[in-house]
Amino acid sequence: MAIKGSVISDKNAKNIDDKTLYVQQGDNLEGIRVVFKEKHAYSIDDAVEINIYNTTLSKANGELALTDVPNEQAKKIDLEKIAPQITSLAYLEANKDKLDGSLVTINAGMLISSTNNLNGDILLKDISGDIEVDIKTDASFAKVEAPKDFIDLTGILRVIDGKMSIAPRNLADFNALQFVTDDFTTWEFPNVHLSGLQSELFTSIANWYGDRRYGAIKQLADKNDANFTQANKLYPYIPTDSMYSSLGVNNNNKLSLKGVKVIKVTFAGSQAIGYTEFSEISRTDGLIRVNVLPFTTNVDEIKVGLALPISTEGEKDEWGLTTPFGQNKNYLIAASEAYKENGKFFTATFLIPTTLEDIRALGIESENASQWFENPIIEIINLSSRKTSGISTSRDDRHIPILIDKVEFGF
Amino acid sequence: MMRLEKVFLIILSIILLFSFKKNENGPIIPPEVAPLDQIAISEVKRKFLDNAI
Repeated sequence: MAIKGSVISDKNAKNIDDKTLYVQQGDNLEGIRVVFKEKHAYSIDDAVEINIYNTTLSKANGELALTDVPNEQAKKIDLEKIAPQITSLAYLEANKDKLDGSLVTINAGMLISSTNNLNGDILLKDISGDIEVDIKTDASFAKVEAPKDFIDLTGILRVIDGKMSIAPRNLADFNALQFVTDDFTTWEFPNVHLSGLQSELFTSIANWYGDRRYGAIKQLADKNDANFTQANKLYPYIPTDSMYSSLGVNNNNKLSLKGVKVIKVTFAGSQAIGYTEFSEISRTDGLIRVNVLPFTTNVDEIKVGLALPISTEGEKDEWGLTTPFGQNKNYLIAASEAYKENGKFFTATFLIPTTLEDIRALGIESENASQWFENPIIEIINLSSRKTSGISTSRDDRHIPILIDKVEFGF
Repeated sequence: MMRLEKVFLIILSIILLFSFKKNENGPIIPPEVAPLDQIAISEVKRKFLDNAI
């Protein structure tokens, strides 16, 4: 009996010993660790046939492998490149027995290295958890500095005693995300308004929208924000934390959100104070009046969140009420940390679900969740809150307006 | 001459006898010569998990 497949490990980059390789049967098919008796000569992408007669299949050191393979029982038959299965940690954890020994790409992860280089203890964190990154000390890329921003990491999934790790093959397996930035300096003013309640915030990068009664709207910076903003720049403001108030963007002909993995939002708490009117510059019928109380530094909290509107199946919400079937429900996927200073820009980073398992891991049960990937909608919401004692949470007291400086989309 | 031929035949018989004896355990077929049945890697792993291999 023989197995056939392509070599997915790279002996030249030395993140694997010279007697061992991983072979995968094909794209989205299974792979396995193979340990020869002697040093082997097979390179990445070599298609091989391995006679498994007289070999041992065991959990060597906790990892399933074909061991003691006589070198003469293998031969190269062709060349075939395997495409990695693009996935997330939640998906891998749910399917680790099947994917053990195969090539995978984990979307949008951040490396945390104990040495700042690609050696030592390294963890990759993504939206749904973290995984150990296996890099041998004598790997050709072990002395390279670890990437500091988000990457898609490709490697061989290893399951050792039930615990997952990923072994990148070479430096080409570390791929930085590509970012598209909307800094809200390229406003467009379409002649056609959106439906009555919406405010349009169109730029050359994306078609954003808000709600003219609650925000977001675009306007010049409030006079009290002049010390940290640009003159003559129109900023999106989200004056309230109403459930109707958000800066939303959908999949549109300017910016395809399909496949977005990371969103960075640079925002600040406004220094507006007292009775303040926020007004969408392209409409004459939209005024949002807020009585803004003084901000207490180090007490009150500036915070943004990211919500995914997903149509419901009529499931019960947290108060036991049934959301009407088909109506969009805003699922909050993450909140930034709370900043206790206004008048200063901070950047919050959000990881976006890329698989249905990611959505489920966030506690979103709607059966319609998978439709979101076809037509992604993302809403930035104002979650700021007053913590000053004596201030109620009534609608007039609680609002802390925020403004957005830029949004970066990582793909 | 006849005697020499007999000796030669005896020696040849002994050699043949020993060579057949050597193969008493069955023919050793090099793995690469035998036609190999293909088995899917998934099947190999499943059999291991089922303790069938």
